[in-house]
Amino acid sequence: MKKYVTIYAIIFSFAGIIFSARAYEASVTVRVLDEAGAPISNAEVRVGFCIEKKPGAGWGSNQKMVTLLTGINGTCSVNADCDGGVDVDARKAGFFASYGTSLHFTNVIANKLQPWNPIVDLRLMKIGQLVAMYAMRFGEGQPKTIPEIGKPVAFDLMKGDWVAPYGKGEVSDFIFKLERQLGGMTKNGYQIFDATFTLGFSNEDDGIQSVYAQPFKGSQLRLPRLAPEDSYMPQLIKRANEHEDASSHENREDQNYFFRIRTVKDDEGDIVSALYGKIHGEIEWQWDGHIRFVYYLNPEPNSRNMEFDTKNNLFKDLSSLEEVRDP
Amino acid sequence: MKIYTASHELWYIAAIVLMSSVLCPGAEGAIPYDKVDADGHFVNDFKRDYIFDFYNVLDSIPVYFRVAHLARGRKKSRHYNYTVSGARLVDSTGKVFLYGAQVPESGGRVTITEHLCRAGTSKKGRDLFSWPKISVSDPLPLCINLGDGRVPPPDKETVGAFVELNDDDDDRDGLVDLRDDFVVNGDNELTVFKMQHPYGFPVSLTWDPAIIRLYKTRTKMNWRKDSSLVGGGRGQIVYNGYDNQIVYAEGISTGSTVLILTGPGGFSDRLKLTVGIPDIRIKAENGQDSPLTEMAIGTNVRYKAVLATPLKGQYQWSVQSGKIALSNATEEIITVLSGSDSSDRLEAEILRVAFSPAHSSVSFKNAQALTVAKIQALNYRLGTNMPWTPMTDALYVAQNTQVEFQALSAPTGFAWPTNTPVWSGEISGSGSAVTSCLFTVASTSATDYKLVSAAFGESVTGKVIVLNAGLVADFNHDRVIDKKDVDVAKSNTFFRFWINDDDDYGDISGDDSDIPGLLSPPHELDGRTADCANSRVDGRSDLLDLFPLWVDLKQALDILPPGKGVEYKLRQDDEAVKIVYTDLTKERAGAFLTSEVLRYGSSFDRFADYANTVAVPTSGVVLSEAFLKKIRQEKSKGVLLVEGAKATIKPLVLETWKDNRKLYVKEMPLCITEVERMYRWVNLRAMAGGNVYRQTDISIPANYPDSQCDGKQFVFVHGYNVDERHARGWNAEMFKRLYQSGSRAMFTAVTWYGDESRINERVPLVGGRAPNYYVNVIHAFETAAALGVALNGLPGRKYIAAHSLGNMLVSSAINDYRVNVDAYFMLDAAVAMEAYKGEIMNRYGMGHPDWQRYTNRLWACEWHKLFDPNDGRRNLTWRDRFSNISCAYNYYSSGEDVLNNSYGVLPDIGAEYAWVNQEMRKGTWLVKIGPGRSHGGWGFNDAVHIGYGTNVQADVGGFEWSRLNPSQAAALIDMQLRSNSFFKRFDNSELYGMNGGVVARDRGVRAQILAEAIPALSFAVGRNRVNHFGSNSLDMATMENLVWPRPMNRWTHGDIKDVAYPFNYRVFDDIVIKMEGAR
Repeated sequence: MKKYVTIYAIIFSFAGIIFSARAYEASVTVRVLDEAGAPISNAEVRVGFCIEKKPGAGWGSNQKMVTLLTGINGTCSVNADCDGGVDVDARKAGFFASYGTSLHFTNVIANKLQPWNPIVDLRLMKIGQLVAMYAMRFGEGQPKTIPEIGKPVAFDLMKGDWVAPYGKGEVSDFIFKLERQLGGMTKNGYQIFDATFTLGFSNEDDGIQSVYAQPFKGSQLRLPRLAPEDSYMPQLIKRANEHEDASSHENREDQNYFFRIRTVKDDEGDIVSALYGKIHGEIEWQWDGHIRFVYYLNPEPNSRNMEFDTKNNLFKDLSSLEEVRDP
Repeated sequence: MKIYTASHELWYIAAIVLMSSVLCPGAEGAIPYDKVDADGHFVNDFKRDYIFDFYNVLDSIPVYFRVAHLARGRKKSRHYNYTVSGARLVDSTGKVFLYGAQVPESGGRVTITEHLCRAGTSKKGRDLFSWPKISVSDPLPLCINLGDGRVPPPDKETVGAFVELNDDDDDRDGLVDLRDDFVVNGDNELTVFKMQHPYGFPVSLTWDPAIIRLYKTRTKMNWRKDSSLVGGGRGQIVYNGYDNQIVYAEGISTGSTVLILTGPGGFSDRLKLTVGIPDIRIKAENGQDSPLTEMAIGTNVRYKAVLATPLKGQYQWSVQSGKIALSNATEEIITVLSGSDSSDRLEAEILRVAFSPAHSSVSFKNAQALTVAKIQALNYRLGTNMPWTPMTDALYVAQNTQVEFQALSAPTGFAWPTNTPVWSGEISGSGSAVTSCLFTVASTSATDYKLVSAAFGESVTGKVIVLNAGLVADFNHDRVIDKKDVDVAKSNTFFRFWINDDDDYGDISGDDSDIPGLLSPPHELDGRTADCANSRVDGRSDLLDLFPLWVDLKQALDILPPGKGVEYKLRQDDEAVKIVYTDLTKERAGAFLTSEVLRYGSSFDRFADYANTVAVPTSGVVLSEAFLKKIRQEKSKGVLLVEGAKATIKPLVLETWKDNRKLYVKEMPLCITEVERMYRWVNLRAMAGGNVYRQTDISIPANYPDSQCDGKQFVFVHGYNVDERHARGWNAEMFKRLYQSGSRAMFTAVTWYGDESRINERVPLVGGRAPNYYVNVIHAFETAAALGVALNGLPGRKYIAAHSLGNMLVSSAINDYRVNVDAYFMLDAAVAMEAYKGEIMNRYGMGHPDWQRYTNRLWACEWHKLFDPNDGRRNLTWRDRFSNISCAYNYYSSGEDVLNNSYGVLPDIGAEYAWVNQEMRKGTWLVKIGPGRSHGGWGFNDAVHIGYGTNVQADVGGFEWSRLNPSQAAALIDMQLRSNSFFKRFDNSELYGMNGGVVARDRGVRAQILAEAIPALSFAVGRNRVNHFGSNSLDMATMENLVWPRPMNRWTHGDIKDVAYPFNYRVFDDIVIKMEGAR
């Protein structure tokens, strides 16, 4: 034991390496700005100073939470003991909260984490026009499967269900098709397959397009306020396979989508009516038909507003796992 | 004229004997004297008569007359000239002549006529006359009868006499008298019979010796020559009539016989004897067989008293009664008529029936008692353990309450006859003094009584007001109190919960806060204050330790509004709970766990997490009027949050009081204990050499017995750096959360030795830390076999969850020891993804920066590829290490700190990137200076003699090591690398030798090499979606609820436990749902 103590004591004497989770003093100034760069006063800023868990209490850190309000210049400062990690975020009524950012201090001088008192800018997006939407975490909780393999199966986004005869849906908003070829089992007991998942639509100019944004980064409103006016693709095709020695699954953590459905065009080919929506995250599917995705549909024709009023979900009977809480 | 009056022996014969003054000549042996009277008529037949007239004869009877020839007077004048009519000579002894006649029932006359005969001439020559010298006896009956002669002749051959079976033991010599040949002071049961017959003339007596015996004496002396037994027990005796005409009859078996006394001339008299035991039974006249011993007051009932063994004939019944009116007490039928006015008959009466057999001096008084009873009152009670309470006023009970009623009898202790009392009203049925009623329909007003009546003749009726009141918990933990819960509550099922004895605070309760504090040492509170000890809710983290309870009072409050003496109280005899007032409805009873609103506390103006609690004392707490007012306004309101403060098995009781009198109670069975009495505990720390304080206890949990569960097993395994004490916190918290999410599985908590090398907490700066992650990975592998045994020993469907490094342990148990589980929930799994799917690789994220330019072939994580598939060294890789697991759900977090993905740089040491850090430190000097072993990994094999570099002249003088550059190293051939890895050599040099393949097969060696020397080349499962798992990968960060209590909405490594349940409950809900429908 003496050996270890000696070793650690030596190491701690070197500045620049935080080897242990010993707490040092950290200081942070948070500046909260709006989209135009103007300071926002009276914004609530949360600063979490990480301190390693008590011995034997597990792996990771506890956080000492400090909540502050920004001043007239949009800033607030705080210092506290910390093992090097500091998380900050901000929120204010009338704005979408900011998920904030993490700071990782690596140097210590005179028992103070360096850089001392850095300024962290957080931007809040002003809440525009919140709208009621059909929003649902489809497939959460009770697993959902595409009712038929190899055939197009339509899904009604306003009903949150498959179109008849597979469900109570009436309008074919999304048309899923899962095609697959199954092999035997891998030596480890997994199903061998080649599968193609296609999302199509029933109307000309209905479509989907990718938009990339990491969850829990930046603004609480993960995607832009407005769905794009164009550039929707009529199909989304995903492939996956599982073989003995290789497998492939297309998946991105920052994957999201906008979509347009129920498009009505006039004689000249101009869109006179359409519904817009978004999907947070990837559309997750499996070779056996299981499917899960989080979608929002603005029921107001031609409104591309994607600011969901979380208190005004048009689905009323969702289970807690199906409820959507992000705007 | 001489008139003979009947002697007592012949009371039944009225005989008048007339002696005429008329002479009758012609007596036998003498010459009848003839003479002409003064008128010149010839008279020749002087005679005189003995006339015996029999009239009012009750039955035909033989009668004898004895005529004695006397020898008095002068011989020559003596004569015996007489004639007899109406009788015939039946016997004589020479001087005594016996005449007999059978006197018919119609009566008759026997005449003995003496004739006056010439007996010579006097000296004067006058004729001398004389009457015959005879004496005529009075009529001599031939008769046998009871000693007192009470059997009238008409009954003698029909009814006869009753002889009691002599089955007692008068002399108490232990011998039943009928088998006793001597009864010292005489036998009471012998019946005296008197015979009348002409003395000195032969008679005979016959009987059935199987039925009776006859004795000369009452003592039954039966000793040889002195035997008292008549006829030697043969049933017949003939003798000369010289006896005292007394015999004693003894009944020796039930039945009848006829005593026949036969006299001279063949005349006989008969007497029927019946031997029996009078067994009086009082039956209903309708002929029911069972004796009726009771009757209801106020009823008119005809009863029939009969003998069990019928004895045809007349019996003398007598009835003793008090206040029972009797209309008929003759023969067999007794009519018991009770009066209509019961007011003067407050108590029951006893009717005693006695009887005497006909013509018997015996009277049997041990007749059956008849109790006349009535319903006196009704009692009630609300549970079998409760005392009976008289139903005086209207009884108030809660709807769906089972109430027992008791019909009290008068007299006290009277046992109700079959099929009585008769219950009516809300209850139907009969035959039980105690019955019960489940009152399911609530009264609609204060006068809408539910009646309960019990009748036994008269009836008593109780009035019940059924209040729709109750205490209903969320038994199925679906956060809604609905009919399902009401139905469970009706069944009086225990609601089971735990004492709030941890020490929560705020939204995030890490470290010691979740450790339950009240179980015996070393599991004490350690200076902390249990949350139940204060009078508030201790933050959102504490909400998990409350349960909702719906006080269903709307209808009751409408009938009995609070105030004016009416109070509603909540009581608990152990003072084991506290309550929080809420404004919740039962439909949202669990909302305190999932959403926030200012509707809690006594003033309903607080959030649930800092509402005040109210103690529930033994005497009861009066529910606040504000709370009751809300219920009156909306039926579905009335939800309380309840906190367990002490262990108890006593119910929570809702009481309604009016004017200081308790009207009704409604109980909810409650069982509260320390939470660790609700699940099993498996301590596997010893498997890897750890100390054990609390031994494994897999006995059935006292407060959550298996019978209350759904048959599923849920096992939880904690992660790295969790000592035994904190394991208790982890396990308690996981159990509670699953329980609140509706799990009904049997829960088993597992602890293992994952905190080795933790430095003593007293060491400055570093005390308490467990920097040697690697040895604990080895411990995970070492413990897997034991976990496998423990899991395989559990019956039923099995589900297992593990946190962090606990997944190494569980994955090894499932993969290596073929543990069969229905679903495996990986929480923040600190295991490389490649272990489950080999081709997953994050080369640039996990590869050490110093090695990026070196070809993979040189890396420790690729060394296994240098060997044949059959070589044990081929398995020295994380890839596919656990590839046999196909039932896993990956609950990962994109907000991970500990398991966060790195970006190709060696992270600083700390919580952030800690897992990547330990992988990237393998083999490097950073490990070497710590307590771990530095070999393999990302270290270089810089041994000079190996030749993977050279010492070159340094610019600053001296020499410095110059390692082969990437292109040079790439040229190294496999053979070289097999025997001398380019990475830092494994400590176990045998792996490089000829026997290396065999050595590598050893589980321990493999575990050590993987843990210490083979860095993962893929990110941790707990941070990433594993495509391989398909939709079984769930980002817990997307399942957050409310405003996540950490900045950035980061779901960090321990947040599944540390962050309050209201924020992360959806993960537990999801697990429970997946358990329900696990694929």
